Amino acid sequence: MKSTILLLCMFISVAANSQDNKKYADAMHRNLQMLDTAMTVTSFQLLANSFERIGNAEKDKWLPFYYASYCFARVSYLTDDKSKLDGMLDKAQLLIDKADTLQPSSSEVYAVKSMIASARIMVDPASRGMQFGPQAAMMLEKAIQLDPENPRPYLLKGTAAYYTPPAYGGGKEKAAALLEKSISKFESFRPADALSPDWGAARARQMLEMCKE
Amino acid sequence: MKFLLILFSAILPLLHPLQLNGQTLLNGKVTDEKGNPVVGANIYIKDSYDGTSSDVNGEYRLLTTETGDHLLVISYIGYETYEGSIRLEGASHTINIAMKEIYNELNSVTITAGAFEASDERRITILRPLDIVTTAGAAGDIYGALQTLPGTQQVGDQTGLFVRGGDASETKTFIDGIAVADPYFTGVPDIPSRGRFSPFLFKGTFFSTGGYSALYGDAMSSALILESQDLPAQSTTSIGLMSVGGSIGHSHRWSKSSLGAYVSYINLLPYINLVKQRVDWTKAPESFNGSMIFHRQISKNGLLKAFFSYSPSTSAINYADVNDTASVILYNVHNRNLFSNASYKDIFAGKWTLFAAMAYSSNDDDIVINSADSVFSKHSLIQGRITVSRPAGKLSAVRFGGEWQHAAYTDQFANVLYQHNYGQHVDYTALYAETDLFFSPKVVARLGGRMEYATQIGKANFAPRTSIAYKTGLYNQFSFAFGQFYQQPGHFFTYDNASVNYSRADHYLLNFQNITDKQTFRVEAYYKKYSRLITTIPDTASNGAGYAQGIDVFWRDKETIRHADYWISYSFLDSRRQYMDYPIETTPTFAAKHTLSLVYKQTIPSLNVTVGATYVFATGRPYVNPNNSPEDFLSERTPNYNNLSLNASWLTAIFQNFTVIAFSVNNVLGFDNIYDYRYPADGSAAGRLAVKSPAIRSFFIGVFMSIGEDRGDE
Repeated sequence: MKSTILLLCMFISVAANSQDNKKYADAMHRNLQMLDTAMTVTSFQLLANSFERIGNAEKDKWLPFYYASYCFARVSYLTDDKSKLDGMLDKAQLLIDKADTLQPSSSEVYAVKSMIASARIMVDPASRGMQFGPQAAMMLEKAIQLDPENPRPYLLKGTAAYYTPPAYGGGKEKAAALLEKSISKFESFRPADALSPDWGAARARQMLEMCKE
Repeated sequence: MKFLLILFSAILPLLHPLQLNGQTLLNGKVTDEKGNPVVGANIYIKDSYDGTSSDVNGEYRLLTTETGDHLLVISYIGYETYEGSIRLEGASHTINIAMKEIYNELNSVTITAGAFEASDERRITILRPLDIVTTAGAAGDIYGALQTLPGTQQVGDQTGLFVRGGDASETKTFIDGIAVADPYFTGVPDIPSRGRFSPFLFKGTFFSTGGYSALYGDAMSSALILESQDLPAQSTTSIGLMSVGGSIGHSHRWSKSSLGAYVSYINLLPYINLVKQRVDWTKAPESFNGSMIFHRQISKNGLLKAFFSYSPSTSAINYADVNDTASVILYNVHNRNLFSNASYKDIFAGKWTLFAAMAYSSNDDDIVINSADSVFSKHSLIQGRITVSRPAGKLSAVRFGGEWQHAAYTDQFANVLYQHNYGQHVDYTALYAETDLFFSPKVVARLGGRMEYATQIGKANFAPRTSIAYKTGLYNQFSFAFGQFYQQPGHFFTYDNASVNYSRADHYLLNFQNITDKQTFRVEAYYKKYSRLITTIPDTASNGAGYAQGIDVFWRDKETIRHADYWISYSFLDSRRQYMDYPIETTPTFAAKHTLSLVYKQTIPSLNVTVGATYVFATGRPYVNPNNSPEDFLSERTPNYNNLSLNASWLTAIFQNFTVIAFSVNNVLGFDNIYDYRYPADGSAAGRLAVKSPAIRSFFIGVFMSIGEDRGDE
């Protein structure tokens, strides 16, 4: 009798578990589909909130925090009111640090960290460039070192080069080379699973077009 | 029964998604404290997936399948997160929430009376450190840039900052809490010298034109508080080539420490040969500087900084002899200056911040006049400071500590007829305590006091310092400050005289400022009462007194003109004093009634070029006419002062290394400014000499290259 109860309980908890997993996967999938087409501050903000809710409910999964941070970073790039950027980026940093704790030494996490550092520069480029420019570059080097096959750090490097004048070591030519490298890596890149980061291929091609204009 | 319970509780969660009728609707509006909608707030049931975001009207609609007792969470960046318990049982609830803004040092009231801050920190400040090096007319000199701010005077023939009716000795420079005895190069008379320290050394510049903190003392008028850079981000090599010399430096970054070494050599000879000079240099100014900077991260928050700098310099000039047009006076100066300091800052037990600094500096001047009269001065200063601070509540803080200085002076005056040696040791000790009390995020009071004791005077003083600031809106606030400020007499006055006392100034300031990241408006009215100023007639004593009052206005705008940044400073100054050899109380030689500065900077992003112009106007300053009776002492004024300076800088790459090419010209329109008159012994007006700058215009061109660590670019 006892063993039957135990078995029943085990069965129930496994069922509950897979039920939970399905709920997690469904919620993430829904958000990731929306993320693919997100363009506006509002949609990124909604997604950031939603990913953060999933992260807070799950607690031990790094991807919701990773995506929430990524969304806040994207919001900051689209926000005109520069006085709001630091608050937003603090939030993004907090979330990516949570992801970093749950999934240490992830190339993807470092790529987002670099996006956050780059966004900090926009608040006051003249005086912040010296501090956050090298920091953003360092994070990208770390991301490449952790996974040389990850196309996203090269996309971010290419984007940075595109917006950096040749005088500061940037320029379209340099950007194009990096973006081509990113695109070739996108061709062979397969995400670890359906929920893992897989953004950027379209952006890389679009940026490359811009370089050739 | 027990089994059934276990089974039931295990199955219960599975049933949730099926409970289609068990949904609860929550709706409402999220606003800030003023009732404005909060857009994009995250509203959710804690530990569940159910949640939503507020819309453009701040409204939300949240349908949840959860049941029972839960927590409703509403969060938004910059606001305190709301958490409220709620019972979900199918009925709908309307929950309106007014969110409370989080107050931190970034959006709370700050003490602003008297303060001009240039900082990289996040707080919106009046200036950024970069503004100092890109201001036309400043020629990359910190003090030159500060002279475009209200409250400062244009004294073109003397070294130093003259602030609100105070002379240059009343402004003191501090680097990382350490008083700098000789912040300027030793020069020759009538030609102002630059500051010794490069603006690139500092991450923060805090210039107070009055009413400053009890942490700083021995300065009656003004304090310039410089904070050195932290650990550099990466290794860099820098090379500078200038029309007057060159410099090279390298700083190496390890994971937890960094070491930098810099040398520079300046020689004005080629420049002087090229640009016509109105004075006769017999030895063009020549200087060498060697410095080292060390940083080490000792713990998570603990940072050790050490700085060492040594610079010898020489120059000599032939002055026209006002009493004998056929002859000249040769003035020859040789200076050796050493400055070193080390500081350590760390946080203990989570809240106690300790700051400790030690420093040694020495300055030797050998001055020979006409190969006959000589002055050999040797001054050294050892000092230390410890400050402890801790937060007291959410925003409030307390600070206290002490500083100690030991100064040794020797001065030797000699000519063929006599020789006189002076020597003196002075110990100066100060204890200070201060608290920033926030009554609300909108009202802060700073209450502090400082006790000082100096051995050559043998008396103690106590200086209370208070400031109050009240935030009247998102971007604007009023500040009021009152303080007493003491200063030791210059060491030269205490060699033969033990009866002189501290000089004293009482400051009263009222300030209003409106500051956004694009525009700044600031107006400040002040009254300063001077007492016990040093007088030298009939004998050296502390019998002088005086006052200074005025209004300073500052407007800076980075918004109206695309890619342009300009600021306007205006100072009205009414000051009179009796001090030194003044027979009466009168307006001193360094006080102009009206001073106006316009600084304009235009960036041309497509060319990576920034051009700038600075125009300065000041009404004439008093000068000594020996023909006047004592009642008319300093009653005449020099002509008005005008100066237009231009600069341009071009950011480019040379061999792929970040390079700045800078060009500037001072007094481009060639205004023939007269700073002072010097009369011959017989007082004849025809024989008087006008004191002017050494050249009518001055030019500068420099190329500065920064070679960053190879970042492995493909």
